[in-house]
Amino acid sequence: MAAKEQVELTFHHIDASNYGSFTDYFNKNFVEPRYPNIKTKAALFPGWAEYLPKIMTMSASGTIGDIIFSFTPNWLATMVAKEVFANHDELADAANFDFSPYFPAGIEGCTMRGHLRSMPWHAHAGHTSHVLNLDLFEAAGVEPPPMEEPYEWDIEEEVEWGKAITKEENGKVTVYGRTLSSSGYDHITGICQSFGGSILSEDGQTVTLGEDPAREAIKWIYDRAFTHKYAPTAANLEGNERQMFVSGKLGCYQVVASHVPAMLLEVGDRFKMGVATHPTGPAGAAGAIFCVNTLGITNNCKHKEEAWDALVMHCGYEAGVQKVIYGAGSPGGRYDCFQSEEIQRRFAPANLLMHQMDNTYPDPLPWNWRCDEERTAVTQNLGEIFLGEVGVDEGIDKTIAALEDVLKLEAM
Amino acid sequence: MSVAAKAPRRLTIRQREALEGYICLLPWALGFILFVGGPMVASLVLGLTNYDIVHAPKFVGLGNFVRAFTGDNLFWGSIGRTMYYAGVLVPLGMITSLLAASLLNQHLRATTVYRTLYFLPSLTPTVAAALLWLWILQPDVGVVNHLLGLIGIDGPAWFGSRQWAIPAMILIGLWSTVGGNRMMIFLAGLQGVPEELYEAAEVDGAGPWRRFINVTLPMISPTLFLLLILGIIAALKVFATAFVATNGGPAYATWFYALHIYKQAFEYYNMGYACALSWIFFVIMFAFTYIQFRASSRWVYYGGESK
Repeated sequence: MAAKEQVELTFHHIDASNYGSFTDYFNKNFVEPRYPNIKTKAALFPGWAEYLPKIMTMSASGTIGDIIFSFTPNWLATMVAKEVFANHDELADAANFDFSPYFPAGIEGCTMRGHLRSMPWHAHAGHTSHVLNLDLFEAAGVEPPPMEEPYEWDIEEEVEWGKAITKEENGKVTVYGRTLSSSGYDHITGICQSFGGSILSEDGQTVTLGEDPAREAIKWIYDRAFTHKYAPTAANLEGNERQMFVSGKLGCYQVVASHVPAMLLEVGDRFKMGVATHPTGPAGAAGAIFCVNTLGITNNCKHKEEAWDALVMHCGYEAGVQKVIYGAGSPGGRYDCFQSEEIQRRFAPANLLMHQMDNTYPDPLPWNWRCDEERTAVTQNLGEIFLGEVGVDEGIDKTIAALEDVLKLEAM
Repeated sequence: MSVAAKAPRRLTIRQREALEGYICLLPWALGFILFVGGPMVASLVLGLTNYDIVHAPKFVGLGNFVRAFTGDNLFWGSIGRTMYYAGVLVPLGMITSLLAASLLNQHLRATTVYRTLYFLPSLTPTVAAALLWLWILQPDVGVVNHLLGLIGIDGPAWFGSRQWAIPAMILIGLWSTVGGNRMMIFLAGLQGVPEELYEAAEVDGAGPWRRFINVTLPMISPTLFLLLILGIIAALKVFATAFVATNGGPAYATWFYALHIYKQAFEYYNMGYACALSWIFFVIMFAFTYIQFRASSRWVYYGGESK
């Protein structure tokens, strides 16, 4: 058998949260021993803010590496629109690749404009994990949301425990029931889904934020701070929500699922921490978007077959387990990763996350793929409502106008 | 028949000196063309195109400029916010820096210590200053509202309010710049005012305030003029603190013009449009600078000049 050609593959990743260093570690300890013809090089970028512009610039100049990191939906959509990623269908067909171990929503998320564009490196259900300060729940004499099966709980329940946990001293609130969860696009989308609404129509052509379910969802967030007063507004934040939770000033913090293991370490012995899923709203849905952190082969790659061999290892079972052991975020985007003994032992919310990931809802992208502009329009304009400076309906109407302007832009 | 060879043309001394001068200028000139002039010309050309970095630019004429003035709902707001910020920060900054320099010019003991203490905040990196002031201006537990509370004032929400977010940014800007290079330049200017002018004014019966208005200010007017121009340009370019502390929020309250350009270029990949916005910005700054230069003949006094 003829020796395979020696190739060097360059990986681009973010050098934060151990993501980049794990990729390099896995390459040196697993990929290269398995494929002696492959030599790897990690070209890591220092932070999240710099990554996407640098990737775009390198892609435009033809200097981009072979396998790069991305995540759904907005980054992957932008990169696909700018033709950064290769079409992976042929590679998968040639390898007769078995997609069955993967979460179907993960493969769907990696499929854009009709083709597979990357593979799930790890997956989660967005900002749907609710980490709980169980000591505060106990002190307030209220039951926390369920942390074991069945995971479902009703959003109405949070009013009771939110108010019970909130404490005031000398006219100032010292402990809040939960976060407002208004500043992130995922937060807003999740609540809208729980109420049966959405920001955009399924085809991304129309703004549906003004319809009743979405309006009620926004009102629900508003009521947390201004009607029931169990969530801090931006003016009340001490640092940020995460810092407040770790300091014991919040009963519940809504966080992206992949951060839960890190939060367990940050909280440490301060208090007992639990994890619950997103509540079920009036529509009978517990809003959640399937989010995939991906690795994919670039159009610039000159050795796509070898890159595919390395890619499927990085997105395979072994990597999906090793990355949790290493401390690099969530398990891989496959059922067997979450069900593995190692993950079950090390990653406390594994079963909860798997439950969430089996119950996600689509988040329509704008028809013109202008995801970042859409997200900015939503968070900045709705932000006026959550500062208490405009009414809910007025703020929503402003946001609708801004979104309609975004939808008028040329396609990316 | 042979043609007599022409004698080689020799450079005159002046020509040789000029050539030597140009050769000395060459490194700077090359750097300017490569890193400043060239990119400026490129951005002017790209401002006439739709350019998303990845694909070739597509010529759209003045379409980007039309979009800015008529089709971008953040354009006028970001200009207004930037003008508000600069319009308050620059005069306040000039007055407070001049005051600080005047205090340092009193020849008191330990002046060096005071000068160092005033200068220290200007050495704080922008990111650190932004994070520090987020805490200082925290409405519930921050130092500023606590002190205001001691004198019976209910402090505002600062970065938690659209109305107070820019004043908060102005506070940070003042803290970072009052005791910095501007103060040092004022101090140098004050120390250059001849003592005999003050003595003559005192003999004529001028009190401290009169001496300040009629001697100090005219004599340091060139310094004032320079710092005013530089101060306005620096204030109009406000970006880093907004990017780090607020990312343009809350609810666009700190969405300044430079941040708008950044977002268009590096987050939305509308590079052609961002270039057009940059040139609009250049024209605005040029206009401000031109107006100041024209107005300067009325109030800037250069020593030895007769009016």
